[in-house]
Amino acid sequence: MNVIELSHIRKAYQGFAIEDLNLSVAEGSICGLVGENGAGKSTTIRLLMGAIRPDGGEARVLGTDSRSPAFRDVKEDIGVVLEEAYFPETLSAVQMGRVLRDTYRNWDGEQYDAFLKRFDIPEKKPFKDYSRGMRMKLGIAAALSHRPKLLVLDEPTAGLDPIVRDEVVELFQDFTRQMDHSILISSHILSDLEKLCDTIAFLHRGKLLFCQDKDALLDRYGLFAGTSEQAESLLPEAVIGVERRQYGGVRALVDRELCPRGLELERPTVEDVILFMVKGAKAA
Amino acid sequence: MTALIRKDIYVLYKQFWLFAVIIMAFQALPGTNYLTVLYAALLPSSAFAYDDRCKWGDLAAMMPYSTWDLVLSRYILGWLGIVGFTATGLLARTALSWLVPWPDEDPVFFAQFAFGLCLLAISMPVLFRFDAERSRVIRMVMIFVICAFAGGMYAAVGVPGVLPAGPLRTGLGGIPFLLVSLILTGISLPLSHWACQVRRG
Repeated sequence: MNVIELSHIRKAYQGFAIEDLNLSVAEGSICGLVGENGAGKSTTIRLLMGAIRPDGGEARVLGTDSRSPAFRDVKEDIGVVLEEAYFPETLSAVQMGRVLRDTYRNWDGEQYDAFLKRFDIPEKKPFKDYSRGMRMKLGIAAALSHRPKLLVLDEPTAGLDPIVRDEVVELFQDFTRQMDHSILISSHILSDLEKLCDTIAFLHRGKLLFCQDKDALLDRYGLFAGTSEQAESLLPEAVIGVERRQYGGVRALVDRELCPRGLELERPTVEDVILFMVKGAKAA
Repeated sequence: MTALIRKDIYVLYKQFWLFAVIIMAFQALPGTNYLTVLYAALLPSSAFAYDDRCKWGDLAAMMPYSTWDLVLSRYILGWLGIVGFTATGLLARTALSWLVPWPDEDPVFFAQFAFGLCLLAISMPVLFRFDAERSRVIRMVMIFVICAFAGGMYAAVGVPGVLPAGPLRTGLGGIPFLLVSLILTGISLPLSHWACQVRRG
């Protein structure tokens, strides 16, 4: 079963459009949504959560159309953290807890208090005096404290120091230990996604370039390092993106299937794949 | 919806002291006590401004609130403000009258309520359609027109021959205005609901 299904979603703004977006996230999996600034990640999240209406297509989350009135109840099972939307600035963590207690039927106050302690979040300090990292931590604590089945996270690790980031990534991994728990996460920190995700969806200028199993993705491509003559001898369709280096050297992301057997290739990281794909798309 | 009202009260809590001073000031100045409800009717716009600053609306759209929850909670905040401020104003006025000699003014409670409700009914759809910042000029013009009208009516009560003094002097003359304001509210609510949905795109 898919917890998220976007079918032929279209949404046009002046100077930007999401075009025919098809994306699905399987139950129990973690899907990383990546793309450069303005690629449409946040818009995709807003579309699937029903915060904005698509011009066309259908968004189903946990089996319900996000435009239907029934989706309000489905939101009880979805924890959301947004990078640029916070809780009101004058509220403290305790006050926000009371507001959320009245919002979610499954609100677990003890869990919330435990997260506040675990993340060292001051209980009575107004939200406006929080650091960016602290804001994200409170958002994560709130998202996890109403026993959601699905987490939708827009840049949740932005602004966190590496130690807390690691802790948060572990927390998300713990969350998906339950079979029916799933996560859709967008992030610029690709190393976090590599650690966390089962599938990677790559958005570029409003188009989904791929949505693939992470391991299959990293197995499919290889990193070639050599001279430009060697790179030019490869089939053009095998080369996804090229980076020119000093003294005539090149690095290229290539499709292993289309390269000669025996060609020495390094295993790329998710970051390599994304960066070379963007370069390839720009060069095309 | 309780959650949203609670949130707005927390957001505005620190301003209540300032409002308390303003209420006392308006009550102390004869002829200006209707301005108390003006401030009460402005409470939701303050809450909108705080929300816009942190983009709370984006987050709330992804939480289990219906559009009606978002809209009604703001109206209820305004109504609570109008009732609460008028009651506080009356208490302040009574307390002040014990301390200093007080001119024999007519209470125009119903007219005051109506004034507050009208302000709220007219400004809310604009606030839901645009944000607090972008709707500022439109709301200022609206508030100016309504205040001028209300001020004129209020002054006219004291001028013999301008208005039928009897009913207004007892305060009951405000009932027709109250009915008008209720009709306006009835139109304003669905309009705000529509504006809220349009803003979502």
